[in-house]
Parts: sequence; structure tokens; C-alpha cells
Amino acid sequence: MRSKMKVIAALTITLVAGASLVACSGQTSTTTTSGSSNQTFTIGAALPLSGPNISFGKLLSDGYDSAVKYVNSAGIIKGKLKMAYGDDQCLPQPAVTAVHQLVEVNNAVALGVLCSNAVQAVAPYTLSNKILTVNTNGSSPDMAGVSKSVVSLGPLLTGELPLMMNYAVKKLKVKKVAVMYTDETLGQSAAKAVNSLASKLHYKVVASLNVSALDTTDFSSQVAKIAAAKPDAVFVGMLGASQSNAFLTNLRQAGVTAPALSYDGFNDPTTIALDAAQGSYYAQPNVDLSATDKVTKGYLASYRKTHSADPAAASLPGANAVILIAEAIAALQKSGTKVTSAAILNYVNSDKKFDLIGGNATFIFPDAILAPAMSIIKIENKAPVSVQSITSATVRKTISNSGL
Amino acid sequence: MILLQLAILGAGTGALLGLPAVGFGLILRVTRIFHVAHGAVFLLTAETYYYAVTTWHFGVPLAILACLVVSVGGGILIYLIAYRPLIRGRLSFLVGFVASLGVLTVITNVLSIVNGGGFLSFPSGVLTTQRLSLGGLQIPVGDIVGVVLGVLIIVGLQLWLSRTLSGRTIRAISDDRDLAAVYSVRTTAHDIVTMAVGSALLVPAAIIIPSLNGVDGSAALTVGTFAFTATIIGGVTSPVGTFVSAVVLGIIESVSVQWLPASWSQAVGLGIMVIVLLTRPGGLFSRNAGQSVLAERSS
Amino acid sequence: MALAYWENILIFALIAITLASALNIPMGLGGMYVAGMGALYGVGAYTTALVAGHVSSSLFVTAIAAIILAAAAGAIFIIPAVRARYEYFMVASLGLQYVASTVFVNSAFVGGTNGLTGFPAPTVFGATLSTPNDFLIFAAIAAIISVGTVALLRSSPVGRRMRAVRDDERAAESLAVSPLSARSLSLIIGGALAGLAGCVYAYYVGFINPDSFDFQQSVLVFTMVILGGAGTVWGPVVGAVIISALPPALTFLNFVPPADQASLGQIIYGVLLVAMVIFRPEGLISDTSRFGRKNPGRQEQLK
Repeated sequence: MRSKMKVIAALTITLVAGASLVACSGQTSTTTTSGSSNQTFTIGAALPLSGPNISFGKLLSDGYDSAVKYVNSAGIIKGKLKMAYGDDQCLPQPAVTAVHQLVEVNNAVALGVLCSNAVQAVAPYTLSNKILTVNTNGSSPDMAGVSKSVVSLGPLLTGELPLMMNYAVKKLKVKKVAVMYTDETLGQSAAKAVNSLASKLHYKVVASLNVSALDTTDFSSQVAKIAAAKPDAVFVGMLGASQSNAFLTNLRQAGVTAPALSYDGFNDPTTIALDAAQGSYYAQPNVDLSATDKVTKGYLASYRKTHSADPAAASLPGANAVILIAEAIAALQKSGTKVTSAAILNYVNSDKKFDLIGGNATFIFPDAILAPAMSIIKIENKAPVSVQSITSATVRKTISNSGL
Repeated sequence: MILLQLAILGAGTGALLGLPAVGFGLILRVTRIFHVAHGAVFLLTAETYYYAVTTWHFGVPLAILACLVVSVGGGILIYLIAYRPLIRGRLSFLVGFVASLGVLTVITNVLSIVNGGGFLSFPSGVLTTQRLSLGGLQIPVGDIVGVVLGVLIIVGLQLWLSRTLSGRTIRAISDDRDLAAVYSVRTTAHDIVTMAVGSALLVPAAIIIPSLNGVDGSAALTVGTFAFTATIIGGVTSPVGTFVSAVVLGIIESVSVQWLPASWSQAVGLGIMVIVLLTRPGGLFSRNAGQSVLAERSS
Repeated sequence: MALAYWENILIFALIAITLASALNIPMGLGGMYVAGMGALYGVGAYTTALVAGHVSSSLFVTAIAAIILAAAAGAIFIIPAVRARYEYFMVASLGLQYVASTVFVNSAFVGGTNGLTGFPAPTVFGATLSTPNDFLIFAAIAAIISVGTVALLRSSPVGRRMRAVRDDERAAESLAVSPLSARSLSLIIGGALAGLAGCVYAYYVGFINPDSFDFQQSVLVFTMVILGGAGTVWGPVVGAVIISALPPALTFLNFVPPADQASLGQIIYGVLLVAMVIFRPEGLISDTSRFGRKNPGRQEQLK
């Protein structure tokens, strides 16, 4: 009994000591200098940095880091920007802890969050603390109007799918569509959207199959059913490149040659390089790196200088989150407003135009979804090729007319 | 027709995943370790094959050899570092389970640091591209190889366990470790042989399945879950039973797609497992049907 | 500011303590290795969100509903407990966990993978709990109830009956103790407390989806109990604190590249698991019953 008490006492002391040590080191490392000209602003990003979605997290962090470098060297704001990361494994509880860390320990003034379930889990906290939360990648429709603290960088599936299906019907003469989706939020809503667009755009859904989010080993039975339905095109609403890649590989081996259609989930280097993915189409925000605006050119020049390569398209949402926040800070500084997290949130929510990589864009309120210019991309010779460009105005119209 | 097609594909997958399941069952039977890290060894082996073929430009035979070395070596190392101290300390299976979870966590995360954690798509080979057409049915060559290889290996394994000295010693250890030790059987050496054989059984699946589908970190859990499901249904004491259950499970999970959303298929398999545990805890193919062999010994 | 950070971690640690102590009752006292606590925790959380959203926002009403439904869900585990023992029961409970996860994901009334959000904050006698401090007190009360139940059970005849069944089923039976009723009771009480933990979690985070109540969660609680020491009052508490504080503490490893920090944290966690079971198999806080040992006699001989 006595030895048990000793163990408890020893443990408590170690834990308290460890906690205070850690707390101190955390505080000292993030002290910000006050004074307007050399102030440092921290942007926090909650990403999956371990677990099954780690490759997404790493891509996005590349986008964040390179954009911070660009903003600092181009002198867009007075003072400097800095990144802080928290690992959320794309899970709700770790996301809440990560965001507490970013805000309370690293003193982040605004946040970027990758996974939709993480965005939803942190929304109550960021709303009550008035911190801008940029949903960088979550495309599922339930990201619309999560809370007043969340803005979404993508046009969401509700914007992407009508454009994609419209192109498929008009240009590819598709009449019979098979749907393969992951059985979770994004996949379910993608499948629902493809079904509800069918009557309006005059195509038929001939097969609709799904797979659990955890399964990446075998899709042969689903593929067999799709092959039997003989579709003109296969819509892929799957979560993550791993599942899409495995499914496409299976599909081609089963002798199905119909093109695959998808949302911007296909915008992943491994998918674009995949043999089985060649000839696939997807819709995504316009990432025309040859655009001539100042931000796109400046960012690219800065990126090429350090990486001697072009950025992966999938990393750009992170970069755009940084540029969005930097422009808000710069505007606040210009108008002489004190830069606080609440002021940034307020500025972004007040319907302004932002110059982002790939062109300028505005948010559609009340859902706070960005309506950027879009492209339909075809994967050809292991590279994304834009086959149709859609202006920001058309995207706005499509989103409000889609009825999704 | 579509049902037959689904059944054939399911049998192929089941046979391929059946070999890792038999390995899992053998290790569980002999060492009493609930070796969930088996899935991590699968991942390690699959990624070895990937790098052997793509980065190091090994020929296929050399790549297969490299896979054998890595999986057998990995299995033995895990045993020596994590399991042997536990077995020596005569610990319950619970701590073995936790140790195995620890090993699983370490291996999957080391691999994700090494390759960035992304999806690896394997170059296509003979196994993956060719399919036999039989009156409207499509049969992938990989599945045929899986079934044939599976049956051959299981027959070999059964002969080894029943006809050779080392095989029979291993069965003796699995029946009563203490008694075997009394008769001065070198239990550690035989545990190592078991780990080696169990891990080697992963190799065909770790090469063929990723060649068909590619592989990423989540495969470790999928393979591990399938392995213990098939083992429990078939019965720990029966490698043939485990293999047959794996094939049947593969068929059921595949055919169930016809009526149920595919995301239910894993739950279907595990549901069957729960029912088997309730009605015949020892598994469908065990000799003493009513009782669970392991539980008998531990009480 | 950093204080608020640790407060959040403390609240999650208290929820983990509630959950680990809940598991400690069937596992430590009853000898039933339940690998499905995540499902029971989920039943509590979903009940809370649904009752709060549709029936009443009173904390007492929602908490009691969560406790009752989770206890009922715990009772489902009695079915495998009738025949399966030890690892067979563990595997069966793991199977039930998978089935529960599939049901959470595919049922529209619990929101599928979207989960549930936007349910009202709890009220106690007209006052609304909203600040982190309120939730800290709520979580602390839940943890005290859970740990207190373990302590009470250990010294009560009911708990002694559970332990008798765990240690020697046949001997207990010969002393007119019904093994099945002792086991069933441990599962129901464990389920009830897991439901309480789910209630705290749902209210504190304000968003729930199946990701928080899956196989991984069950395994995590399992390791908390084993690392800390099953069957003891304080073991699961220590295990819960260590496992919930470890990942946040590891984020302060400033010398590793940030991209690899999280994976490294996981590796340290894995190594720690292996080292712990090798060097302290009976858990950090050990009990005289030598839970981790297959053969209790040997330890006694060594003394």
C-alpha cells in the first residue's frame, strides 16, 4: 500500500514538473514583440501529420510554408508571418486539442484546417473566441455555413459537381453514369448530388456502389458490378487519393475503359501520375500557373527560387489560406485598425475581394464559400490539362442555381 | 452470372488474405500472442517489394527473396524484442496484445516517415494485367495464382505440422508449453520458427494484393482484422479451417455487395465471427467443437 | 493563455479517466476484457446530443438518459459473456465494436458520418454551462463518480463477488456466487459510466461523429487500463492521464522537423507501450492479485 502511494506521488510530481516545464518552454518560444513595424503574426494550421491522411497534411504544409516565405519577402504586411502546426489526424478530439495549442500556446491570429470533421469540431471554439478558421480543403456540402467563424476556400461539391456533370453531358456525350463513393460525408453527398442532377442534365445513374472509408485493399466486387452496368462514365466520389487510386487501378484491370469523373480530390500528384487515371476528368478551382496577376507570378517566382520546381496543385489551398489572411492583415494595418484575431475575422466576413493564386475571388455569403474561377481538368500524359475554363461569375451562378 | 463473378473474385481475395490469416493463427496458437503487428509486417513486406522493383531495380525473383528476408526477419525481430520477454515472464495474452499494438504503431509510423505516408502504386506486371475470360466470366490471373499457391502452401504446412519432428514439437508446445518445457523442448527456438513461418506466409499476399490495388498505411489494419476474423471463425487449432474460412469469408463479403452497401461487408464478416463465438467458441473446424482451446488452458 | 491550453487537456484527461475507470469495472474487477468501450462511449454521446436537441436541455435529463441507454448497450455484451472468455470475449467485443461503428456511420438519425452538431448547451437549475471552467467542473464530477464507483465496488460485497468470479469461476460458483450475474452487473455498470463520459464529451466539444467512437478509441481505453494497472482504483487514472497528456506534450519537441513530429510522437508512444508491458506488466500501480501474470503463484514464491 505504501509503495503504491509512493508511485502515485512520484508520478504526480513528474507530471506536474513536466507540464510546467513544457508550459514555460512553450511560452518563451512564442513571445511576440509588440511594436507595429516588426510584429510577428502566427498563422495556425491543424493538419493530419500522422495517421492515414498524413500525405495530405504534408502537401498542405508545403503550401503554407512557401506562401509565408512569399508574403514575408514581398513585404505584403508590416512585420512578419510565421506558421505553427498542430497534428489533428483528421479526428475531432485531436483537432480540438491542436487548435487550443495553436491559439493559446502559439498565439495564432487565424487558423487553417484541412479535414471537414476537424472544421466542424473546432467551429464552436473558434466562434466563441472569434478566430477566423479557413476551411482549406473540405468540399462536402455540410461545410456551408458551419459557423460565422468558418470560411471555405473551395466552391464545395455543390459548385464543382454541376460543372463537371454539365461538361460530361455536353462535351463527352455521357448518358449512363456509374457512381463509386466512399461511405462518409463527402462521398455520400457526392453520390446524392450526382443522382439529383440526373434528371436536369438528362443522364441515367446505372450503378451506385460504395466502400467503407477504411478499406483500401480490395474493390474487385464493386468493380465487377460497375463493369456489368456498362456505363459511359464512372463518377468517383472517394475520400483521399489512396482509395481513388486503388479503385481506378482495379477498374482498368477489369477492362472498364469509360472515363472517370471526379471532384478536386483527383488533384493529387499520385493520382495524376497513375497509369489508370489517365483520361480522367475533374473540376477544380482554376490553378492556371501561367496567370499574369501579381500574386500568382510573385508566389511562383518565390517558390521556384527555393524548390527548383513548380508547386503541387494540391498544396495551393494552404498557400491561398496564408495569402488571404495576409491580405486581411495588410488591409487592417492600412486602415490603422489594431490587428487582432477578431478584426481579421470581421474583415474577411465583410465581403471583400481577395487576390489569390490563380486570380481574384469573392466569398458567397451567408455560407462564406469562395467562388473562384474554375477549370475542368483532363489528366493526360501524367499532367493536368485544362480543357475548359469557367469564370468566377459563372461559378457563382451555377452554385445558386444548382438546387443542391 | 454477376453473383458467380462476385463469388470468384471474393474467393481469390479470400485465398490471398487466407495465408496471412493462417500465419496469424499459427502464431496465436503457439505463442499465445494476439499478433496484430502481423498487419504491419504485411505493410513492411509490401513496401519492400515496391522499393525493390522500382527504386533498386531488382528482378522479380530477387525482389521476392528480399520480401521473404524482410518479412521473416521482421517477424523474428519483433519476437525477440517485444514478445520473448513477455513469454519468459509468463504473462497473460493481454500484455502481449498491448505489446503487439505498440509494435504496430511503431512500424506504421516509421514507414510513414520513410515514404511520406502516401499511396504507393505498383508497376503493372503479368499477374495484374492478365485475365482469363471464361464464358462471360472474368478471372484475374492474380486470383488464380492466389488460390493455387494458397492450397499448395496449406497442404505443405499441414504436412510439416503433422509429419516432421519440428512440426510436431510446435504442436506439442501449443498444446502445453509448460509440459513441453519439462521435456526440455527448446521453446524459444520453436517460437522463432513459428514466427518465421507465420511471417513468411504473408509474402504472397504482400506482393500480389498491392500489385493489384497499390498500398497505403491503412492496409495494416485491414489485413490484421481479416486475419483474426478468419482465424477465430475457422478455429485457432486448424490451419486448414482458417484457410477455408478465409475463402468463404471472402466470398460472403464479396457477394453481399449485391444486397448490402459494400461499407457493411467488414461488419458482415465480424458479425459472423461474433455468432461463431457464441455458438462454437472453438471455431467451426476445431476438434473439440464446444470449447475454446486457449480459454481452457488459461483458466 | 497557455493555462487555457492545459485546461482543455485536463478536461479531455478527466473524460479519459471517467472512461478508463468505467472499463476498469468489467475488465479489472470482472475479468471481462471489453474491447468495445468506444461503442458504449458513443451511445452516451449520441444519446446526449439527441435528447438535448429534441427533448430537454437539462443536464440531469440528458445525463440520465445517456447513462441508461449506455448501460443497456453494455448489457448487449452479456451475450458473448455467456460463452466466451478471455481473448475470445475480447475478440467478440471487438466484433461488436465494428458492428456498432458501422451502424453509427450508416444511420441517418445519428447523422451518419456528418455527425451531430448544434445541439443546445446543458442547463443546470436554469443556468447554462458554457465556459471551459463550467465544463472542467462537470468533467471532474464525472471522473469522481467513475473513480468513486470503482473504489466503492472494490470494498463492497458486490465487487468482491466480481473479483471472486474473475479469479476462480468454479470456486466462486461453489460458494453460491453466480458468475453470469456478477459479470453482467460489471458490464452494465461499466456501460453506464462510459455513457456518462460520452455525455461530458458531447457537451464539451459540441460536435460528435463516428470518428470518436471507433475501434481505435476502444483500443486506446484498453491500453490506458492495462498500462495503469487493471483492477486498482488509481491505475486507470494514471494510465488515462499519461495517454491523454502524451501527444500534446510531445508537440513541444522542438528539435524535430515539424512534419515528422507527429509520427515521432506516435513512435514514442508505441515504444512506451512495449517497454511498459515488458518492465511493468502488472501496470504502473500494481495490485496484490498480479493481474498481468498468467500464474499468480510464481510471484508469491519469489518473495
